[in-house]
Amino acid sequence: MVGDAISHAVLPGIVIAFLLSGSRETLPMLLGAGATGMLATFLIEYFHRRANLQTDAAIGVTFTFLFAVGIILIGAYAGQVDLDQDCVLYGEIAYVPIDLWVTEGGLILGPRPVYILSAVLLVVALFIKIGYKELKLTSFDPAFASALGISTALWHYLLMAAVSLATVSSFESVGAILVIAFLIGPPATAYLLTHDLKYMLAITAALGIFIAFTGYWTAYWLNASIAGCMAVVTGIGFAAVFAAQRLMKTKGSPAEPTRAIG
Amino acid sequence: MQDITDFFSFSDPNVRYVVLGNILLSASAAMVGAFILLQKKALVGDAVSHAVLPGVCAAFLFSGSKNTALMLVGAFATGWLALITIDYIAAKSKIKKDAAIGLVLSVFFGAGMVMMTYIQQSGNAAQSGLDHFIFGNAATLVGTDLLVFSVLAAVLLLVVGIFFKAFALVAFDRPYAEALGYPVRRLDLLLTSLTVLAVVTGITAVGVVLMAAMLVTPAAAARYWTDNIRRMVGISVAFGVFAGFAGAYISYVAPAMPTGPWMVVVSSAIAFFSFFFAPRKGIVPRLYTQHKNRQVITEENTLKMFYHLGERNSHFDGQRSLEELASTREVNKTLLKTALRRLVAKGLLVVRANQWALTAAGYQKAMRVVRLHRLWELYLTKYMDIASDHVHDDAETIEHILTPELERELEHQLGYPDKDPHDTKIPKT
Amino acid sequence: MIIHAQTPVLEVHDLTVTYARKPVLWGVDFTLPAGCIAGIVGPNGAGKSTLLKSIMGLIPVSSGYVRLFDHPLDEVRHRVSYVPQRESVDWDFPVSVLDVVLMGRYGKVGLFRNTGARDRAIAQDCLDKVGMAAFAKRQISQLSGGQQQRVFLARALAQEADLYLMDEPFAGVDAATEQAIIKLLREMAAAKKTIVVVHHDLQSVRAYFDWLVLLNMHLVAAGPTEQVFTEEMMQQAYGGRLSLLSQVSDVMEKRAFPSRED
Repeated sequence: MVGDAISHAVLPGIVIAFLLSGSRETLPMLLGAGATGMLATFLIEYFHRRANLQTDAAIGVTFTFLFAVGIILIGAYAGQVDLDQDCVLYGEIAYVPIDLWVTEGGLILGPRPVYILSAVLLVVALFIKIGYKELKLTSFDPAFASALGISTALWHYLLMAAVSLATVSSFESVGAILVIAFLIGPPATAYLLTHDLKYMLAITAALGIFIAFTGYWTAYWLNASIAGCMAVVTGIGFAAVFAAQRLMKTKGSPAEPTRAIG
Repeated sequence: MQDITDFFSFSDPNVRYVVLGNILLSASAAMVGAFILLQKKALVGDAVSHAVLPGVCAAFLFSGSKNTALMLVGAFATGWLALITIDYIAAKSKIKKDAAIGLVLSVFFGAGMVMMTYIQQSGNAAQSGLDHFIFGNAATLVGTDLLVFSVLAAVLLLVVGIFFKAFALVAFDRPYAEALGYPVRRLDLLLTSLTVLAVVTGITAVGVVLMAAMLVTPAAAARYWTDNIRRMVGISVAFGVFAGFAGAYISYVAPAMPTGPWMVVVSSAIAFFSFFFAPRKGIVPRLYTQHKNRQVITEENTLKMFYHLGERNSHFDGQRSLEELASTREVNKTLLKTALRRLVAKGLLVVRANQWALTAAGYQKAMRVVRLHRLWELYLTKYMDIASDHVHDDAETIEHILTPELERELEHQLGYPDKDPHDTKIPKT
Repeated sequence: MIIHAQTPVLEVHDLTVTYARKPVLWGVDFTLPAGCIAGIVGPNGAGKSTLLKSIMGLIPVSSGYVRLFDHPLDEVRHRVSYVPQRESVDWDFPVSVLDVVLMGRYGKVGLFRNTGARDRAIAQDCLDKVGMAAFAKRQISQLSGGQQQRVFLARALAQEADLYLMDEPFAGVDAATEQAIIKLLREMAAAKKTIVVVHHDLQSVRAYFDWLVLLNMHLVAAGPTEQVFTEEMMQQAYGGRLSLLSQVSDVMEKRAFPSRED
């Protein structure tokens, strides 16, 4: 759920960066969003540890607060900036082709978000490649990891930073809330399909691509929100896999071995 | 000033609607929210509030107009469906609950957005105002909404009142409630229904995205002011009502300001204030207690110096200089000076020409600390088999903590001893 | 009664551990010789797992210190292996048996490098030692309780450490596994490895351990089993908690007293 919290909490950061820089430059937006994203993670930890607030409440209180601040800022400066509530919700994936990257010399290099998102994909993929071993161990058995001298806190924050990066960069395209669908949906579906972490990563990526295509075509066909349709396709995909597995289990198929207990 | 008097005279029917509506919805949400918080289901509240969107849109698609009753039914249906789906996924697969919540929340919300954009593209004139359900717009509240709200709030109040005891028990000790034969599953469903109801009440004014905050934030704040569940629900409702009122006022004074987000910001401010400053549980009072405790420790340690010096040359009311005192144990001189000043102020020491001496009360207190120290050392060696050269450090802590009752019990268990493990005399009052 | 070892492998000196200001271990002080199988025994809530975790530096200690091989932990971490309780991890995690055992090599491999063919050979060899060679490719979600424990043991073996700290390795495992594990531990002890085991079952204490640490919030006794495992000592360890100690603990927790002047 920290992903949920971060995706909501980046909003005020984006708006403030917007107001300060006065443009839709990507770097200030990323910085602003990263700052409030980290602020949210910090506040959640702080209230939980220092004030003994239960974790779920700490998450709930923090991100709704930051999100509300973001909405208020948008409302207050609505006239001055080209950012509105709809953009926060739906994202503006449909406008991606319009947002062109034009060099000083007037050379058109294609849609800017495509470059940015490619860069983010590269960074995230590289991070997983380098830290694969440590990420695997700290998620599976944090006590053992600490015993080996691997800092669980460090890897937790690195992972959260990667989540922030992915969230922030998708924000412009799909909006604050639906990011969560893409953050959780594909891996959850893949998790049902395989027991192997490497396959799970591969399936997740493949599903992501599949969702992007089918979601887009559904939206085109219905003439509705692209991001929304992608989220729905994600849900349908998960439901299909889930239902297929339930069906196989009730038929007593040996495909899913029963787990021994004790 | 004009604004304030205008607002508080409630002469404008719009102001009346908005204020009353806000108060009713925040009170309902805060009341149910208290139980959601206690059951540690804050994130579930978040999921419900997002998941009512497709229901609202479906109702609109179906009826083609903004029919409040039908929308409530739709919202109720999808809110419920979302919760059941979450529970089902978490129970029947290895997907963890938080992942299930996030998945269901975003997919339902996505479905809602698809419908909403579909409605917008289809160009139905009545759709204006439908997107207010996302962030809410209290200004659109009208008389009939208020009527619906009042009925919902009354229902919520009544149901919570009737099942108060049961909800409290389930939140506190679920297995015990089950063992007593409470229909725990059905009570869960009931609380779920109430949650959905409370969220539905709020969507017109606050919107689905932020309704989760109105559920949980006032309750989280209230938790810091009391340990009594009835009072907690009361305080939670009071905070919610205040936030609702403040939100209405702010957007009245500055019409560009959205009501819902301000309600959330106000209740968050209350919550943050509570986390920091609530007596006993807040961060600042807790730090203050720790500071006080530390002061007590330094003071008692200072008194002990006088006692130890007294033991060395067997008269306890001698005048001691700062250097002499500091020679008994490693100590920070400035800390020692402030401690001496405080002890003089408390009448435990007297000072004359930079020489300090114990008063009668000071002597009693110093003796008690030393006594507790030696009793505890004896206890450690005798009952915990700790070697006598290892017990001093622990006794340095415990001597400041033991209450008179514990002291008596310690003495009794040790058989009213005279000597500590180092064969030093244990002083007696 | 505390009997100290001549040249200790593990030295725990006056260790006090508090959880949220409530002391759970008081002034624990003992040493262990090399090449022994030591049992940590005591009633529920005696602080046995806490002791192990504080030796591994997983929870902060309030006072006292731990030395391993006459060094602080950080200098000799690679010589120490920790086996957490089986229940402490999520056995649905998408990794294979071999993956888990390879985690034991992470401390040696270091950051940015992957486990190599040699690590793989060692891991396979360790699996063979615990009788799980045939399960290497199996997903961990398909293992029984006893098999899970064997995998954890294999992972510890893969660390090639000199001191092994095991938290309840016999909890909920079948009799065959228990026998296999104890046989393996004896072989390790014969090779001058030191093994510390948190244990529950008093029946098998005399048969399994040559050194015993009796714990009940404080150290009741420590020394060779034949000297420590007496009726009188067991009476002391299990004859109820020292009520005064618990009361003092409660007072410290309620009044938020610092455990040391600072």
